[in-house]
Parts: sequence; C-alpha cells; structure tokens
Amino acid sequence: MKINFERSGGFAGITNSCIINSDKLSLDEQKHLQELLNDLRSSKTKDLPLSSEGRDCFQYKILVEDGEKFTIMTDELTMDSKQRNLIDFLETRLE
Amino acid sequence: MHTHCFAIPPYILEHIAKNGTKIDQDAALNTISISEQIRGRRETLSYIFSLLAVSGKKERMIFDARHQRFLPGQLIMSEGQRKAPNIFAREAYQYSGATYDFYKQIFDRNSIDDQDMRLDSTVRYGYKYSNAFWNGSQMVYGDGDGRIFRRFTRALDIVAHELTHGVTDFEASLVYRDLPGALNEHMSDVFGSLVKQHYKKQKVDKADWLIGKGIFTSKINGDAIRSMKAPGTAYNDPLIGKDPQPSHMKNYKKISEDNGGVHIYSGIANHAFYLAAMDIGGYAWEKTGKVWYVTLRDKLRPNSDFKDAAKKTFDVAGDLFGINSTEQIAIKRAWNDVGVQI
Repeated sequence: MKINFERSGGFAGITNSCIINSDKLSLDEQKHLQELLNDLRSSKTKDLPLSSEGRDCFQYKILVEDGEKFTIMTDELTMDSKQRNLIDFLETRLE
Repeated sequence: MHTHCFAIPPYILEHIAKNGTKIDQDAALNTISISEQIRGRRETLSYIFSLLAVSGKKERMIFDARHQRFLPGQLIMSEGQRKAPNIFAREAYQYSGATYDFYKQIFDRNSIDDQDMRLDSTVRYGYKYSNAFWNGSQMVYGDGDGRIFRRFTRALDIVAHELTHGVTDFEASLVYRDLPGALNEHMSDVFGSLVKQHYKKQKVDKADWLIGKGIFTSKINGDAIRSMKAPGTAYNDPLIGKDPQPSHMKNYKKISEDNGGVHIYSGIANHAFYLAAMDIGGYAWEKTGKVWYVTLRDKLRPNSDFKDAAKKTFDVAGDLFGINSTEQIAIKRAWNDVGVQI
C-alpha cells in the first residue's frame, strides 16, 4: 500500500508532503494504518466539502493506492473523527 | 438534537448570564465552560455567550483549549481582568485589544462586524500545534512545536491578521480561493502590519514590513513568515524550504494546494501596498491604509481579484485625495510595478 500525503495552507502557507510505503512500516504500524483506512472506507467520508469559513486552516490531500485508488481532500474544520485519526498518524511522518 | 445535562439547570445559568453583574456573568460562563458534559458542544456555548448583550464597547474573552481540539475551551480571561493566567492569554488579550483600538481610532470601526462583536480567542489549541486560524467566529492559536515555530500569540501582526479575516468576512466577503483568496490574505497582512506599525508608532521607513517576525525558533534561518518589502526573502531553511512568495504577476500560475496559493500570491499585492506606502510616506495607515480600508469596506466583492483591487484602490485614492493626486499616482505606479496594470 502506498499513500501520498500532503498538508498545505495554515498561516504560513507551507506545503509539506511525504510518501508512505506500508512495507517500510513496522508490523504494528501496518496493522494500525490498515485499521484506520478500513474505518474510513466503511464510513464513506471521503467527499466532505472544504470549509467555507475557515481562514489559515490546514488542508489535506491523501491519495491512497491499495488495490483500489482513492483520494481524500479535507481541512481541519470539516474533517470527521475517522479522517482525523488517519491524519494524526500521517502527520507524524511529516516530521 | 443534543441532550445536555447540567448540575445547575441551564435556565438558572441563562438568567444569571443575562441579568447578573459582570462577576456573576463571568462565574456563570466559567461554570458552563468547564463542565465536562458540554465540552465540545459549541452550539450550547455559543447560545449561552450570545446572551451577553452587545454593549457598544470592547469585549474580549480568552479561552484555553488545554491542548485539546475542542472550541472554544475553558474561559480563563474576560474583559477588564487585570491579571492573565498565562502568557498565551495575556498576549491574545493585549493584542486583540490593540487591534480593536486600531480599527476604532483610525477607521472608527467598532470591532470585527462594526457592531462591537465580542472578540473570542482560544489559546493552547491542540498539541504542539504550529498554526493560528480564524474559524468564522473566533481566533484560534497554537503553541508551536518548539522546534520550528514558537507560540503564535507572540506576534501582534498575526493576531491582527486573524481578526482582519473577520473584518473581511463582514465586508467584501472575499472568496477564499485563487486570486480573491490571495486578496483576502493580502488584506489580513496589510492590516496586520498596520496594527503593528501603529502600536510601535512607526513611519513607513522605520517599519520592518515583515509578517510573523519572531515566530520561528532560533534553529530556523528566517526573519519572519512573509516580507511585504521583499517577498520571497523571509526565510530559507532546509527544514521548511524557501519563502515561495513572488513579487510580480508574471510569476502567477494556477496551483491546487493552499486553496490555489492564497498565502503565496498575496505577496504580489503585499508588495504593491509596500511600494505605494513608501512612495506616499508618513504613517502608512493615514493615507495608503485608509485607501485600502475604504476599498475593502465599500468597493470589493466576493470574487474581486488583483485587477479589481488595483482599479478600486485607484478610484478610492481619487475620491479621497483628488484625481491625479500624488497619492493616486503612487498607487497606480505601485500596482503597475507588480504587473497589475490599471
């Protein structure tokens, strides 16, 4: 499984991105990531519109390739808890 | 529909919030805000806080998110309170007050909505959260990660920038995408900078024209987050890259990230403002700032772009200072110099 993760916007407008290959993760991390994605897939939260009111918020773009391919675009005001959980995991990879 | 359970019935708290003395009101609101049962239930807090009458004067409330992501958090400071519980609250309180005072003294504007809307700020949002934002009704500040960013309340222009997003929402309501979004960002940088210059009593030649100076830690090679004087030069560091802002329209291209680059292309308009202000001289808020404020308040529309802003600032300068006045000519030259022809 491969994930392209991008965070942009924020007050500074700095774009950070990374690629996560699941085979480079520990077994525990792979399992955790798979659970996060399964949660997301089952709740059909991929297509929430971006916030029209937020200013200087972070935006996220996640391209998942795992047999199928899908993209999630969200921001920190509109994301739901499942997207939040996945993004919290992915953001640790930006550091 | 949410079910809320209170130890004290909400109708009692409501009555106190509406009719009590200031001390009673603060106590009632504090009780509500620390209740674990309503943590995160913003709609309840909004309702309760909305009971406080708009009194025609500055009204600030500072909340502590305690490193969680629920808004607004616990009320820790309110208007008139002398001592702040921590430095984050002190800065958010002091700087939102300075911003209110600027808009009132210079433009006779009564708060964000010109009707003395209360200024709500949440500090200590999230864990090592390196950002500040406006969520449509309040300002929110993180502490920074301590590695790249320091706390976001420490910069007056950042506080004023966020508050100005509220002003823009109530006036031109510039769409937050592509060039209208860059114009939205530009307005926040302009008035963020002017609030700072006014606070420090600086004329154009003494101002640093930097946005977010001092927000990076000492580990980062960077003066600030943005430079209106020299877009593209604010920082250059292996950890965060180089300041990507251009100073001319020839470098504009459509991109997808950052809502179409609203924080990137604002540099073009920022530089136009800087050039006009330097040309006109004096205190930047008196003439150049006034033109920009009247333009934002009266002339721009949600889809206005840089060309619209150039034309409108030119027109407003003519209205305020005369056709072919030095001010109007300076503004035309400034926009032309950044590639936006009037």
